[in-house]
Amino acid sequence: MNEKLTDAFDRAVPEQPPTSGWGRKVRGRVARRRAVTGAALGVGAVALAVPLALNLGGSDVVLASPEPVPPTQSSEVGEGPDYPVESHERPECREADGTRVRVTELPGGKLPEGAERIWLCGGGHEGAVVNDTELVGARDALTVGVDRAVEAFNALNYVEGAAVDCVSDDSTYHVVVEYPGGQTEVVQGFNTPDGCDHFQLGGGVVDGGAQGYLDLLAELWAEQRAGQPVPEGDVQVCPAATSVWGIDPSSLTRGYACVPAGDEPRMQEELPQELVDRIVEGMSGTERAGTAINPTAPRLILINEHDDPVTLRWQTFGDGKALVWGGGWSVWRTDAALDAGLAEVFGAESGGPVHPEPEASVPPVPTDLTECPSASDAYEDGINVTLGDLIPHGYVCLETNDGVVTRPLDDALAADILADLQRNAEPRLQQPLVQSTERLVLWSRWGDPLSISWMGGGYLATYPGGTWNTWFPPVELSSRIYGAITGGAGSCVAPEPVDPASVTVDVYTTTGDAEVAERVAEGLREAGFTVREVGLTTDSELGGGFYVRHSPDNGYAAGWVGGVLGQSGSGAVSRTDDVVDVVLNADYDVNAGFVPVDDARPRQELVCS
Amino acid sequence: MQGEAATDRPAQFDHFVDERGGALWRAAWLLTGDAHHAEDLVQTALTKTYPKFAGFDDPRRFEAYVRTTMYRTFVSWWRRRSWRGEVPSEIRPDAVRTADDDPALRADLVRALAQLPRKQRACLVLRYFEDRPTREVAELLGMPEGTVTSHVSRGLAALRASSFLADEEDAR
Repeated sequence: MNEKLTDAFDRAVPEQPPTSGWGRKVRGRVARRRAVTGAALGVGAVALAVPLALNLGGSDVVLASPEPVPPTQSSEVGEGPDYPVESHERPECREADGTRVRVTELPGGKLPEGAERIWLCGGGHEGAVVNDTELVGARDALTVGVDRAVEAFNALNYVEGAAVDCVSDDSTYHVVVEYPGGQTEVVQGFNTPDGCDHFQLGGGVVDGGAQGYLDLLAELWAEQRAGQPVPEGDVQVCPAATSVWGIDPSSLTRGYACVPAGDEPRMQEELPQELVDRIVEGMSGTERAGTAINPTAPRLILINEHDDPVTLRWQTFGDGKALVWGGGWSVWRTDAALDAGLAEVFGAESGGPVHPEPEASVPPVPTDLTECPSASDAYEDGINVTLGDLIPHGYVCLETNDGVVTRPLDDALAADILADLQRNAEPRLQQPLVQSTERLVLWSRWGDPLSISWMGGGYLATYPGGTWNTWFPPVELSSRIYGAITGGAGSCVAPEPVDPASVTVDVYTTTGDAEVAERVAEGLREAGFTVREVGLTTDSELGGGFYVRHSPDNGYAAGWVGGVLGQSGSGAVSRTDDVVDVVLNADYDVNAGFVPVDDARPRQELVCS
Repeated sequence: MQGEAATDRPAQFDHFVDERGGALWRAAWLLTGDAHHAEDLVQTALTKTYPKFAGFDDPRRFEAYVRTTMYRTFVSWWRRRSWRGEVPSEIRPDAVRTADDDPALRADLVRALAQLPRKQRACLVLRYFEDRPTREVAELLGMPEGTVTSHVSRGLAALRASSFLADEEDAR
């Protein structure tokens, strides 16, 4: 089998595509990221975990030794915005030379007992700007539950000599543990969106747990703050500051405008309370839209009563304005009254238009394309098309065996598409490119195209700002889109809802705990599924995850069953019959509750003809 | 690379990608089973490693660095993705040609590999496509050798049991 597998691999791999131009694309992505973050991608904590013996091209063995950069040193400090002279953070978060604290050597990767206080500090190097803001820690020290925090850290798994392998983001935090006499130990937690969940220490890595540890710290701080007097006086938050832990918008009590509106708004002006209240109300009911942050738009910073900040941008979104925060993932469309209030705050200071927008122009429908605009065309060198940049004009583009076919998109349909897309597109993290040969193309106000792939069944995918978004328009709009693509009168209908009784499930456990298997089976029966078999298995070929296994034809049912179980895990195609297998192993959380069957029902594809 | 004029580095990097991008893509294709996904994986790894490019004096060392990042990124995607977010059952092998033009084998192999957890898949590709010994696989993926052996063993067993590759086995 093994030799045959090698041969099968060699025979199955397609011919490699031309790679000319990839290098330029990559350099463009790096340059844009630098522009957005204003921070170095080459933060030293990204070095390889261990020296690696690697075979290149099947010939010489080559050791891939990482570039020797200390963990908290940026190789490119100074490329980004010159942030900030004054900082929200406490002096305990700085070294004597004013830079961010550096990680320390911890024997065995364990913190000594007997700590007195813990300081939570921000991420990256000093002044690093991540997603338009500087990540900062807490202004107050943790003095309650310090032993619990140390104990929890020491329970994590330490790997001597390793280094964190994450370069995509500076979304990190630092924990400064202070002992009697003023001695401190410092660890750096990585909780980046691309999956890094580690601690960097001076001599190694704690493998996993950084996200959960930040949650624990948030709980401990919340316990300590409960019933305590709130700090008085102003705190410096401009030009940018956002807490490393998530802030509940409803807890925000004060706000500042960073003025004058420009590149380095270091002065801050307290917002009228009525404006703050209105913004907080709007933020609490926000939509998850996902858009690129306009780095020139005016900036607001709201804080809670303990001075934990959140930075927002007031920028153009579609045909109106919106407040954008959370790295562009949270968008709230402002109304005319609030826009007027914010214009007064910023306009009076800037002495002119807050941020003039270019006149939108509508390019002609291209007729000589050799291929349709690609998903990546919206995020090329110097181009960053977001949903907020789009105008209600575009065209249909089809790649056929006879070449590319284009036809104009009716303006009324384009307007409806734009409105629904901006409202209901769902941004996704960590997804590779998905596109089809049938696409809609909407123009940005700068004349750049955003391609939207019709994936079939009323499901569309697009990449505004380089971020994967899925979009399921309403049935009526799907019908019109389908008609535009087919060039006729399209019609899409929603299928009849699937009866859960038609889904057959087997429940197995690899832990030998029959009671848990029975309880899961009973929960699935109560949800309406047909449970056929419940039993033990010694199946050792399932890897380390919790699985809902399914055949190529019943993925919908598998997703539904898994949704009812309400647990993360990984789907795997592993059966050729029509039965969904639920395989419970040690990763299964026996305390998890069940999700109501209709709440867990996956979206069914439309039938279009 | 190190010590040469900074202005040459972009061109050197482009040349490196032109020369080696295809080889990286082939491994990425086996990991992802899709040409677009493979390209995205390679470019993601290159994006992560490009800031370090100037620090390497040997392109082979840099390629080793990129490969490591690529495999770890692949496994990292796996960790972060919710299975609810996966498109569970539709496997559409690329409509592209292989050297031997064996689309049936390609489709079957993609389906069989898709059954495997990503760590198993990464271990198998490293062992049997890149022909690396267990020790190197362990170092590259940052896991103990015993774990690699276990992943390889489980992966092979799963492929043997796969109905998609059964015919391939029988035919040989």
